[in-house]
Amino acid sequence: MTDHNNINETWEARINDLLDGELGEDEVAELKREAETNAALAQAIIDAHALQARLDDLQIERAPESLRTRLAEIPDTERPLPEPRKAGSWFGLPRWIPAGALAAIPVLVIAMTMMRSQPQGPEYTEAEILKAQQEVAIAFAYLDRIGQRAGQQIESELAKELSSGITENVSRYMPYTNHTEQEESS
Amino acid sequence: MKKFIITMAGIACLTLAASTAWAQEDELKAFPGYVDFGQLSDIFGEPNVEIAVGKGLLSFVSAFTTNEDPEVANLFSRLDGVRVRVFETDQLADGAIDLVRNVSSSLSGSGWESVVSVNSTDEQVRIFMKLNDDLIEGITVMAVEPDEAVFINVIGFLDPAELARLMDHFEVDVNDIQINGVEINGDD
Repeated sequence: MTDHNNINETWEARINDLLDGELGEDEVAELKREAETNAALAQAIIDAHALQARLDDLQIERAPESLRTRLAEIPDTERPLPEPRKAGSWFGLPRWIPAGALAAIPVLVIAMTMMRSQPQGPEYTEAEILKAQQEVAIAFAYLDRIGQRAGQQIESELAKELSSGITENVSRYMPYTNHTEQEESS
Repeated sequence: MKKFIITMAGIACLTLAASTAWAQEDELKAFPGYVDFGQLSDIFGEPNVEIAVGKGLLSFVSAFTTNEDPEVANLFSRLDGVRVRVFETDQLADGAIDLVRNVSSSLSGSGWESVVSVNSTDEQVRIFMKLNDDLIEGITVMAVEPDEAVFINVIGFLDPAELARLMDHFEVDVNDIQINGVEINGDD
């Protein structure tokens, strides 16, 4: 198996997406083009496919009930330590990790990053937070609309007052204007 | 910078649970920027939009928004609470103008500054700000018209100029909001 240390995280993520069928045609074509000139990447894709095929072929046998009961009774402290990672495993992970868990790793990393950045306190569901985000946006939208309307109203009133003031002042010195208006109105 | 996009069009149902809103309300009463609008339902009936978001939830909203839009996240982080009541009405409700005047009088007597005041026969608008030195502790808006009454109380530091600048980041059209399947139309 080839050393995958030369594969950067972007390509690693792309390979995971490829296996999950989440890549678009353009992205698959781009990955293929890159693999044609990048031997390590090509080998990584082949290994990933092979690993997934082997995982898919694994048959899961359920342990007998008596054994599962006894295992469950063993305290955590008495359980043997997990075996060290074996060389040649896919991206440093043991081969027995199910493909589903492999695919879930990026999700877990993102979730843990988000959890670290979140403030401590009462817990809210993501749906509650998204709803609150929308509500605050709605509140600001109303605030903005009322502010704009009030501004327009004030501008309109000011314009009327200014217009009226100017007309009156001008009219005062130009009686002819009033006379004409009166004639027109009659 | 990536825009903070919230698409409100197509939201078929925005049910705002009253119990959650009341719980958030209690949390907000301790802040100096909080305003008691009185018994709005007695005058306007049941609100069509009822929003009450407290500081705790706003902190999470800020954290969730950081990656999408750091500027907006920063704005959220400085807020202690947001309250909105919107009532759709058929005509100017009895007692509506008195309520606006009474609340305005109460606010003026407790350190709020009147920023905008529109008095017309069919429209009453009041915008107040609570200032502490150079810091804004709250903004209160009351807008009463024949077809709509809106009461907003934003608690916390909010720079109106900043809000105006960031409004483009909230792609929300209040004329396009649907609540319980009923479209709430503005008349801009």
